[in-house]
Amino acid sequence: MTAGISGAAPRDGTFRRRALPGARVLDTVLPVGALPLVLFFAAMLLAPIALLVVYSFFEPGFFTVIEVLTVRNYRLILSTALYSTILLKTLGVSLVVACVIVVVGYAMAYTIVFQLGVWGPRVLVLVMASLLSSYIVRLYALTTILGTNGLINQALIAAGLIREPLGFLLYGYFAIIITLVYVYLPIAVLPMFASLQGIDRRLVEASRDLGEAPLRTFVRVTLPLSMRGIRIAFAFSFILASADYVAPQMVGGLNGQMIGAVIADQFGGASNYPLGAALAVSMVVGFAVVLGGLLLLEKLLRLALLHAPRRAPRGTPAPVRLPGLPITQAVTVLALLFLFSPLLTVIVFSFNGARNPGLPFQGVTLHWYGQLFRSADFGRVLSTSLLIGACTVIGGLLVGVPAALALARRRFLLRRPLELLALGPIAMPGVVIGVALLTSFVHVGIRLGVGTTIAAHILLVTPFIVLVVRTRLEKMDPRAEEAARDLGSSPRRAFRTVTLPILTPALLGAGILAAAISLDELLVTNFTIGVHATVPVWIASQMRAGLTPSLNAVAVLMLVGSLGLIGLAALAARRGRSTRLLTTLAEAA
Amino acid sequence: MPRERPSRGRQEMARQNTGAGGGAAALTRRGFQAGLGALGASMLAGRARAAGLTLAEVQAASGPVNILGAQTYETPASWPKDLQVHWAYNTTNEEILTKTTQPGTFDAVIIYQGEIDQLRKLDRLVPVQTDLLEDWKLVAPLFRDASVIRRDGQVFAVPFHWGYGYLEYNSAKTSAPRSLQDLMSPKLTKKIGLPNDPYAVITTFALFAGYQNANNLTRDQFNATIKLLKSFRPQVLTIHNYGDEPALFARGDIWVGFPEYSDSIVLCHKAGATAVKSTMLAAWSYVDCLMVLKAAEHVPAAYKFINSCLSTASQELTTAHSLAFPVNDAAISALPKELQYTSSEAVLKNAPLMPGVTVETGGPDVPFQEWVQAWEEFKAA
Repeated sequence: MTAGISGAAPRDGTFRRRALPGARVLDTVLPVGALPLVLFFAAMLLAPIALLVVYSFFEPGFFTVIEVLTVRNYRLILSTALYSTILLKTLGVSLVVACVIVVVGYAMAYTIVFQLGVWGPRVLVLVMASLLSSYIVRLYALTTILGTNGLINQALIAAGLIREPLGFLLYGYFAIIITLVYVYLPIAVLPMFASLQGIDRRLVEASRDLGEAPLRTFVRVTLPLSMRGIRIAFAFSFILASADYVAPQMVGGLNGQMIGAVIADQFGGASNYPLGAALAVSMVVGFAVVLGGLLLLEKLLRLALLHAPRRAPRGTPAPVRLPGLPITQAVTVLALLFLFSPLLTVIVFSFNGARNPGLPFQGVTLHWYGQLFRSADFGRVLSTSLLIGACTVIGGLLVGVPAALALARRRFLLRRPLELLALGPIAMPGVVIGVALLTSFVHVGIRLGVGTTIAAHILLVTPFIVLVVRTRLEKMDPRAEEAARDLGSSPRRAFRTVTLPILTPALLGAGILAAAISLDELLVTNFTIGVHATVPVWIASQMRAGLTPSLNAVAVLMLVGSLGLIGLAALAARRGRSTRLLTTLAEAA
Repeated sequence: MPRERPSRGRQEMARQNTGAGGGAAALTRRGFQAGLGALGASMLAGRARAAGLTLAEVQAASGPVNILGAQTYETPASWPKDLQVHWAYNTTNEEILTKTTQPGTFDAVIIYQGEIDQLRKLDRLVPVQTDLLEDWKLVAPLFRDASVIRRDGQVFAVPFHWGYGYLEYNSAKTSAPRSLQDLMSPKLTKKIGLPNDPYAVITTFALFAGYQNANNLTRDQFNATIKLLKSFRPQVLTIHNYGDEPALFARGDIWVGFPEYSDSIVLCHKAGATAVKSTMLAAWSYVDCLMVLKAAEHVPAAYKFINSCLSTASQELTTAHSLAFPVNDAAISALPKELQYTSSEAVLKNAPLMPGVTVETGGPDVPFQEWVQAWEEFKAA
C-alpha cells in the first residue's frame, strides 16, 4: 500500500488527497469539510458572543445599552463583594463537584472497563439511561428523597437510626453538591471510560509481569494513560456545574444563589444587560483561570515526579497491595443506586393518587397518564419538541460530521482553533447563549420560533456530535479504506462501503445524544422559541401553578421513548443490542 | 437587544430631515435609516393602536392571534372558535419583557398590573380602547375603574383575574402568626419559605415595616425595608419558585410561607398538607391583566380574544382552571368553596391593590431595578 496510489497513509493516520493547488492551499489552512461548522458557529456563536462582549463595555439603559464605552461593569464586579463572592462561591462549589465526580466516575469507569467483563457495556447503558429523562423532574425527585420528611429521613427514622429528621440533607451546600454530582456524573463517566478502554492491556500486563504490584501498576501505568479522559471529565463537570443555576436554586435554599442566576437576573428584572454580559465574560474567564491553573499544576507535579530522586532498589521491592475489598465495585454499585433512585422515584410517583408529584404517596392511579394523553397542550408541545429534535439531529449531523472528518483525517493550520471552536457551546453558559441569540435574532430581524430554536439546538448538539464521530474515526484503522481504494474502489464507493458502515453506530449514537439534549433543553429554548413551546418550556411554565404527578408521567414517557429510540437505532445498525451502540458512543466521548 | 445612542439630537434631526420640510442634501444614510425606522414604527403603532378599528371588525375577526401568558390561564374551551390562539408561556414576570423583545411576535400578553410601567418604558404597550370590548361592562367596577390599570388617564390593561398575596402556616406545627415578631420566633428559625419574587417579598416587608404605599418607597423607606428583610434571613429555609410551596408544606420542610397565591392553600390541601391555614397578615392584592402590544399584527383578533376573556362563561372556565379570582363577579361561584368570598371590596380592604413599582430613575421612589439588586444581595448574603 503506497501513499502514491491512495493518497494517504501517513503514520499518524491522517489522510492527504491530491487536489488542485488552490484547494490544496485552502486544505492546509482549513479543509472544506470544516466550513459548514465554521460558518454556522461564526453566525450563531461567535457573532452573538462578540456582541455580548462589546455590550459588557457599554453603559446600562433600561433593557438597553447606551453606547458609551466604559469599564464600569468590570470595576463593579471587582469592587462589589456580592459579585466577586458569588463568582468565587460558584467556582468553589463547582471545583468540589468536579473533584467528587472525577473520583466516583473514575471508579465506575475503571470497574466497567477492567472488572465487569461482558457486563461492562450493560452497566454503561444503565449509566447512560439515567440521563434520559426530564432534568427538572429528576431534580424534583431528589427533593422527595432528601426532604425533611423525605424518603431517606423516613427510612432512617423507621430503622431507628435517628429520632429527628436530618436537616442538612436538603437546602444547603451538601444538597447543592449532591445534586450537581447527580446531574453531571453520567456525562463525566463517558470520557474516562473511553480513555481507560483505549489503554493497551499489554502495557498493564507487562507492568505486572515485571513484578509491579497492582496499586503501583495503576499509579504508574493506568492512571497516566487515562489522564486525558480525566481532564475532559473534570473540565466538563466543572464548566457545566458552574453554569447550572436551576439545580442549586431548587435544592440549595439560601445557599442556592449561583453566578448563573445573577447573570439571568441581569437580563430579567434587573434590566442591566451590560452588567450581565460582563458577569458572563468574567465567568468564562474564571473557567479559563481555574482550568488553566489546574493544568499548570498537573504539569508541575509531573515535572517534580520526573526529577524526584529515585530510591535505589534494595533487593526485592516489597509489593504494594490493594486492599482485598472490592472498593471500585462497591463505589459503582452505590453510584448506580444514587443515579437510579430519583428515576425510580419519578416512576413510582407518576402513579401517586395525591396531586403532589412527591410525598405523601396516596394510593395508585393512572389518572395522570390519562390526563396527559387527553391534554391537547401536551400533544402540541410534544409535536413541536419532536419536530425540533428531528431537525436538530439532521442539522447537527450535517454540520458536525464533515468537521469531525476534517479533524480526524486532516492536518491543517487552523486545526487547534477549530477544535476549540467546536467545543465553544459547551463552555458557554446556556443563559448567555440564549440571551446572545435572542439579541442577534432580533437585531437582524429573524422571527423567533421553531426555526430559530432548531438553529440554536444545532449549535448546542454539534460539539457532542463532533466528539463522538471524530473519536470513532480516529479509532478506525485507515488501512481498511485504503485497501478498498487499492482494490479499485472510487473514493465515494470506499466511503460508502467501508467507512460508513464502521461509522454508523457512532452516527446513531451521536444522533441519540443530540435528540436527548434537544428534547430536554430549556435555558436557550426559552429565549428562542417565540410563540411556540416545547415540552421543557411547558413543564417549566407548569411549575408556577404547582407541579403535579403528570410531570412524572411526562418524564417516564420520555425515558421509555428514549430507550425505545436506542433500541430502534440498535436494530437499524443491525447490531441487535443497544449496548454496543452506547459503547461506541462512550468510546467516542 | 435594542440600543440607545447618547446623541439623541442627531437622530431627531435626521428624522426631521426625512419629513416634508427636510432637504435632500441634508439626508444622511443614518438619518435615512432612522427615518425609515420611525416610519415603520409609526405604521406598526398605527396598526396596533387600532386606529379606525370598529366593533364590527372586532366581532368579525378570525384567524391567528398570539398570546403570551401563564399556563394556568390557558383554557382553549373558553376561546372564540374562529380564532386560532397560539399560546406561549412565561414562567416569571420578567420573561414578559424578554419574550416581547421582538416586535410582532405576540399580539397580547397576560401579566400583573405592575408590569405596565416596564412595558411602557420599553414602548411596547398601547392604550386599550375599551369601547371595542363588548363585555367591558361585565368587569366589576372596582377593577374597571381602578387607577392601577390606567396611565395618563388611559386604560393600558384589561383586568382578567385577581388575587392576593397572603401568609400560610402549618397549624399542626405553629399557631397563626399575628405579627412580624411572631414570625421571628426561634421556633420558626429555618422553617419559613419565601418565593423567588423580589416584587412580592419586598412589598410584603414594606407592609411589615409600616409603609402602606408599599410600591412607592422613598430611599429611606426602601433602606429600612431591606434592613428588616435582612434581619429576617435566619428564619428563611427556602427561596423557592411559585408552585413549590404545596410540596414544601407537604414534605414538612417549611411551616410558614408568604406571600402566596390565592390558589396556594387549595393546592396545599390537595397535596396532602391538610393542616395548612392562611392569615391576612401583611396581605396585598394584584390583578392579572390583558394588554395589547404596540407591534401586534392581529389587533382585531387580539381585541376579540380579550373581550371573550371577560364573559361570564369564559371567566367561569378560567376561574375553575386557575383558581384565580374572577374580575366578573358572576363567576365567583366557579371558585372552590374555601376560596369563595362575598365581596371583593372587603378583601381588598384587608389586602390593598398595589400599583406596581416605578422603573424611572431619579424620582422620589426607588425604581424596580434597585429592588431586584437588593433582592440579589439578600439572596447571596
